Amino acid sequence: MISYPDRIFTVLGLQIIFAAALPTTAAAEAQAWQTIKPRSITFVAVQAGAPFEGRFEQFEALIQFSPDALEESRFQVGIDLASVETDYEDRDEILRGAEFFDVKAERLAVYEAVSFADLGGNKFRADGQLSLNGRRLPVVLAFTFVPAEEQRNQYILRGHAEFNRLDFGIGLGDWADEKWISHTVEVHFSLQLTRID
Amino acid sequence: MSQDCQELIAIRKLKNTAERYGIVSQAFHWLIVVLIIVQYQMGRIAEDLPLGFDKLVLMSRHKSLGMTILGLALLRLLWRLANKSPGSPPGLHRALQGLGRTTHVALYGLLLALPITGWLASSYANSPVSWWGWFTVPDLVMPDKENFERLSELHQLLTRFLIVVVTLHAAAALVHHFYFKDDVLRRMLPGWPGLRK
Repeated sequence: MISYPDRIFTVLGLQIIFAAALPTTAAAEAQAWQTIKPRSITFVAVQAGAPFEGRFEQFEALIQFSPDALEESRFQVGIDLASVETDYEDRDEILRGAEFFDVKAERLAVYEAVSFADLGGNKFRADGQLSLNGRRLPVVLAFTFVPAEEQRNQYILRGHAEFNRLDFGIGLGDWADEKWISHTVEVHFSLQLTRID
Repeated sequence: MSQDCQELIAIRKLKNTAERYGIVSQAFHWLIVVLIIVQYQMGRIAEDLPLGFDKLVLMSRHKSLGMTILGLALLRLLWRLANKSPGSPPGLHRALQGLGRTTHVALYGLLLALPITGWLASSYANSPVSWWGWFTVPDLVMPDKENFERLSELHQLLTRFLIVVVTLHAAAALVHHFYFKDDVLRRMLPGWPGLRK
């Protein structure tokens, strides 16, 4: 059994969600990891024909993962949507607003995966569920899991996902027009991991 | 008249002479006049709009049109360098000649500086410029909120400066026409008999 230090759960509301979902015994074989810097969750969307990148400053990732124990592996990631940062105040304000993330109603997005596939060559796939804007839908992650170059005991989990923002009710009404904001949003993540013993 | 001869005359009308501006210079001048009026109105309306979809659409068009004007201004400068302008009418006071030259230099400078400061502001705001959705214009600088504010202010300051210089330019054309009674205004007007000489 693995016990996580309390300080992992700093994102609003995450503790309750994860405490309920935490496995008690099944995860014994998969290594538990803690994310350390450098770590990032970014996204790319196309605005008026031009792609821009944004990021989430606040998130917590609970990673239990071993390539040889995929059955017992699991990801639980909580993202504070209010921490969205696109280097442009006006746009961040709109993203936090009712027509997009509506952070006043719910500022937490959660991704959970318990189903993994080994694609060979350090490439993996996670079939998980993304809870965002009050909707819970399947989202696939493609990722690699490789040792960090300079830290022998650390790994880097890096990958991406794609989904249609309209499936999650993000940017409806006028904003739904793909000409002005792409429907497809790419999410990229890169997490440096250190073991939790 | 032989066809060759007609073609020769048509080509000659394209270029400037000592007495008048040719069709190309006139087309550049009046096209840019119209585009700048539209551009100014779009920028002014967009500035006053509340954060939202309409502002995004209008600002995107403002940026596309700005890049269009920048391209036209560069072509126009090339044409001007390759094709001598008629110059001041004979007998004009040296001070007025200098004032005219200064005004023209300021106009060309602003014609370049306005789109470039807008382009810089867009890059600083991590909002790359798309040219009418056809292609993305490369960013000039990395995102930076403080510099975005600075460039936005400079862009607005230059706009006010442009209004002053354009007013001076148009007033000078009218003074030439009605007070000095010379050809300075007429030589920029299409269809002036001088063209058919």
